[in-house]
Amino acid sequence: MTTEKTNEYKRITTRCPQCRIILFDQPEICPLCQCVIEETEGDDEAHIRDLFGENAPYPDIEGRRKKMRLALKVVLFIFVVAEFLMIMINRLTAVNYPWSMITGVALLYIYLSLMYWITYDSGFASKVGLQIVLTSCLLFAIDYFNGMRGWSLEWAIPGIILLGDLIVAVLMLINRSRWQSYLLLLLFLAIFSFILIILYLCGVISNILMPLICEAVSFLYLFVMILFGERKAEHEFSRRFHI
Amino acid sequence: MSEKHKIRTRRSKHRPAWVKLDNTAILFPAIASREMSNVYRIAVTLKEDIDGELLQMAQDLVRPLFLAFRMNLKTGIFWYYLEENDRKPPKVYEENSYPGAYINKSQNNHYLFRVTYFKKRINLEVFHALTDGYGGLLFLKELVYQYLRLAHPDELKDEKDRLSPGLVLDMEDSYVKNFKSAQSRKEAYRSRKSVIIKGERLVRGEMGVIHGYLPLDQIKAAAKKHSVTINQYLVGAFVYSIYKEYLKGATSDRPINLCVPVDLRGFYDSHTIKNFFAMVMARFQPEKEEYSFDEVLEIVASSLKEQITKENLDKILSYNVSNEQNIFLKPIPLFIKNIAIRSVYHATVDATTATMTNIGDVKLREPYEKYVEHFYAMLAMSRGQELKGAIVCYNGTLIVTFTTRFSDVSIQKRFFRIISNDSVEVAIETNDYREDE
Ligand SMILES: [Zn+2]
Repeated sequence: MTTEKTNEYKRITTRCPQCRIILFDQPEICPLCQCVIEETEGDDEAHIRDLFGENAPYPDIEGRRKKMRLALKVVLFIFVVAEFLMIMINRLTAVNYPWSMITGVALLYIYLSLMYWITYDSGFASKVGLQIVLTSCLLFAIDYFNGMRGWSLEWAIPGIILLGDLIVAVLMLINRSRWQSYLLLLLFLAIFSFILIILYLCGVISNILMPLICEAVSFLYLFVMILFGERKAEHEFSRRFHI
Repeated sequence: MSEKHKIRTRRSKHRPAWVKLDNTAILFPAIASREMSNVYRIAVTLKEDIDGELLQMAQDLVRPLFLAFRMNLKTGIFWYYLEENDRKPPKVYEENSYPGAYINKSQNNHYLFRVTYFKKRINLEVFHALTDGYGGLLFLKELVYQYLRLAHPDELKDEKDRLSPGLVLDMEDSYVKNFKSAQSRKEAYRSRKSVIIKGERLVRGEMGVIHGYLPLDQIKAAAKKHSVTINQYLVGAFVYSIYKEYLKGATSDRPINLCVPVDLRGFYDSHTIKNFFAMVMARFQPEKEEYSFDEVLEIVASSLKEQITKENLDKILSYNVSNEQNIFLKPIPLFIKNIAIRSVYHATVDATTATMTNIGDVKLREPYEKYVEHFYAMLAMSRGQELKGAIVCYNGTLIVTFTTRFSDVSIQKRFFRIISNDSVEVAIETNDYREDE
C-alpha cells in the first residue's frame, strides 16, 4: 500500500546519510555537511509530503545591479579614451594652453555626478540640492587654485543658484501635485544666496550684482509660494521642521 | 468601514496624512544602506502557481486600505517622518534578488515595501521603519485573501473585496503611549562585548538561505522533554550550536549574546501596526569546560525568563523612549542625530552575536486555509551580525530560516542535527547559492 502511495508523487527529497536530515530538491551534495548523497537514498515520499507539504524553490539570481555596473564601466572606459585623445590632440596641435585639463575635470565631474545620481537613494529635491552644493564647492576650488580672482563667488555660484531656482520651477510644473515638496530646496537656495550677501558685507566679494539678483529671485519666489501656497506650504514647513 | 474610508481619501486629497517615526523606526533610516538594508521578508507559498497580474490587482485592492504601507520616508530638519505617498503604485514583479535586498526608494516610487513572486511563492519585503513582523504579516495575509478571491472567483464568490472584519489598523506609537517615566537603565551587560562570529564570506551581495521544516507536534514534544518552551528550545539550540561550532566548546571571556526581539503588543494590550517590540538578550558565557546541551538550555531559558517580564520590558521601553523624548536632544539637526544614532548602534552591535526572532503561529481565515502551503520569515544582515534566524509556524509546520553571508554553515548544521537527535524529523531547503562555486 505504501508503494502505491509513493507512486502518486514525483520524488523530490533525499536523505543525507551523515545528518539523517531530509533534503528537498535532491541535491547531489548535502548543503549542511557537504556529504555526497546516493540518488536512491530516500524515504516514503507520501509520508514526507504529509509531514512537511511541498517546498518552494528559489530563482537563479542574475543581478540587475551587474548590468548597471557594466553600463557605468562602459561610460568610464569611453571617458578615459576620450580624455586620452584630448591630451594627444592638445599635445600635437600648436595651441599652447592645456585645455585638455579642463575637459578632463569636466569629464570627471560628469562621471561622478552620473554615479551619484544612479547610486544615491533619495528624493529629487535633495539630489538637486546636494548637486548644487558640490558643484559650487568645485567651482570655488577651481577659482581658489587659479589665484582666487573671485569669479566663482561673484558670478559662477550665483549662476548655479539661479539655475537651481529654474530647476525648482520646472520640477514644480512637472510635479504639480507635489509642488510643496520642493519648498525646502527653495528655502535652501534663498539661504545660500543670503550667505553670498554676507560675504559681500564682510568684504570677501566686491561685485554684489549677481548675488543680489540671486537673493531677490530666490526670496521672492519662496515668498510667493508661501503666500499663495497657503495650507500646503504651511503643512510642508510644519512637517519638515517638527521637533 | 468603506464609508469611513471614503471620507479619509477625500480629505487626504488636500492633506496627505503624516506620522512621526516610532521609537524603533528612528534607527533604521539612519543606518540603512545597500549592505545593511533593514528589509525583512515574509513569504507565503500557495498550492498553485502565482499569476503576477492577479497579484498586482490584489495589491492594488489592499494597499489603499493600509495607510501604514502607503508611506514615503521624508527627511525633516530635526527628524525623519512618514508621509502619505500619492505616487503610482509599486509594481509587483517576479523575484530577481536575494531576500531582504535593499529597497531603493527612488526606483520604487518611494514606497517602502515590495511584493514579488516566484512560482508558488509570494514575497512581501518591508523596510523596518514602516512596521515590524506583526504589521507585515497582517498586510501579507490580506494580500493573500484578495489574491485567492481573485484567483478562485467561483469557489470564493461569497468573499468580499475588502479587509477582514475585526482587523485593527491602529497607527499609534505604542512606545510613547506606554512610556511612563524616564529611567536610566543598568546597561552593564548590554554594552559588554560579546562573541562576534567571523568567517569567510560569500560573494558581495549574495545571501545564503536555509529553511528547516519541523513538524510542530514533534518540536513541541522535544521542548517538553527538556522542560522548556519551543522558543527557549530553539534559541537554546542556536546558542549551543554557536558554542560548539564557533567556540569549539572552549571557555570564552566574552558571552554569546543572542538577540531575541519580543513583541510587546501582548504585554501592553496594543494593536498598533507600527513597530512595537523590544530586544532582550539570551546570554550564555562558557566559563568552564564542556557544557552539555541541557546545561546551556537551562541557562538560556532562565536568561530569557528573567528578561521577558513586564517589569523588565517596562524598563527597556522607558529607557529607549526617554532619549527620544529628551527636550535637549530633540532640537538637534537630523544629520547630527544620525551620527550619534549610528555610533550608539555600532556600540550595541559589538554586544550581539546573532539574532533569532519568532513571528509566532500564523492563522488564516476559514475559507482560505486550504489554499496556503507555508509561511516563511527571513531577516536581512546587519554589520557584524551575519547569521540570523527567523521562526514562523503555520498549519502544524514550524519553519526556521537561517540567513547568512558566511559560506560556512556548520552552525546551521549543528542546529538541525541537535533537533534531529531529539527525534524530530527535519527537512532542509536552501536557495542553492553554493552551486556556482
Ligand atoms: Zn548532511
